[in-house]
Amino acid sequence: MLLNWLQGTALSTAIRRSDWAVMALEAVHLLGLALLGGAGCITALAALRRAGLHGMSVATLAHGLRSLFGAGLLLMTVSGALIVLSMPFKYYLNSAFRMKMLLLVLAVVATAGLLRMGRGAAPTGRQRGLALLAALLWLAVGFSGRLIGFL
Amino acid sequence: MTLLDLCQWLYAAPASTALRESDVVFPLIESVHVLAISLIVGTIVTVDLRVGGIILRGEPLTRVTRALLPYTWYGFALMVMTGLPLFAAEAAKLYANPAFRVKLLLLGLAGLNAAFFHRTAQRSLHDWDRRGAASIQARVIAGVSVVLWSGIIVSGRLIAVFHPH
Repeated sequence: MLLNWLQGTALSTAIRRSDWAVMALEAVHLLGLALLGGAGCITALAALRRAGLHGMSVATLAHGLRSLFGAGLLLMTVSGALIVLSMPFKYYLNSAFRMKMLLLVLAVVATAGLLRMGRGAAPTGRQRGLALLAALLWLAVGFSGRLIGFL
Repeated sequence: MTLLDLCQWLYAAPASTALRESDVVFPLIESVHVLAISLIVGTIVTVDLRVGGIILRGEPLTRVTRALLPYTWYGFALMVMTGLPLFAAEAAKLYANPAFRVKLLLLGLAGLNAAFFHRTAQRSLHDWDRRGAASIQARVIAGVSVVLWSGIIVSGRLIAVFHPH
């Protein structure tokens, strides 16, 4: 079984046996969240206002903050993958983790759909609706992530 | 009444106990707290990296600060509004928690650093708009800000590690 194999890898064993590795990875996961979430908040705020933020449009900010998006995404995916790798059964069986992964897929699909719609001069009703849905899904991803530790 | 007495009184208050024992409200407030910190750190790090000339170089520094710093304050208000009930619920345990103490210390230092930046740099902002680059001193302050906020996030996460059950 895949989970058995994952748990038997040297990397998984090393992280699981370390006293501080998971703790450090969780801290890195949160640092990534601050960068990704922060850049996401700024871009979303610019999208909500017709004139952008002080004349900076969504496109300007999304482009200007691409290094923050990239760094945050990299930190989150690498640290998240390593945390799951260290205890694959624990996360596989955790219902909050399953919910988080489902919501994550939906949030990524909604965001990709939003990016594919292209940028007109003014957002359409459908774009606004999808943007709201994507924002709510990302918040739900964060909340279900917090619940993993509560269960 | 000592600070510890105050923390114990807060901890024992009915509202604190109800929050501590709730299965949904406590993690919900924690999630909003993390969202608020993301907004603060995202806006501050963006300004810091712009001062360092690393991102948004095509935009004047004054435009970036005026666009983002109001949201830093909204984030700060939300962080305090969510942080206070979270503290009250666990006050007696947090009092001696080393990670919590370090987090408060770093928050204070980040505040002083920001105040120092505004006192020394505010007048030069328009010069930097024309020259496109900030002074070495301002870049150092910006770098210190990034380090302090990273430390606040890490120590915040470590509160749970030092938390007695």
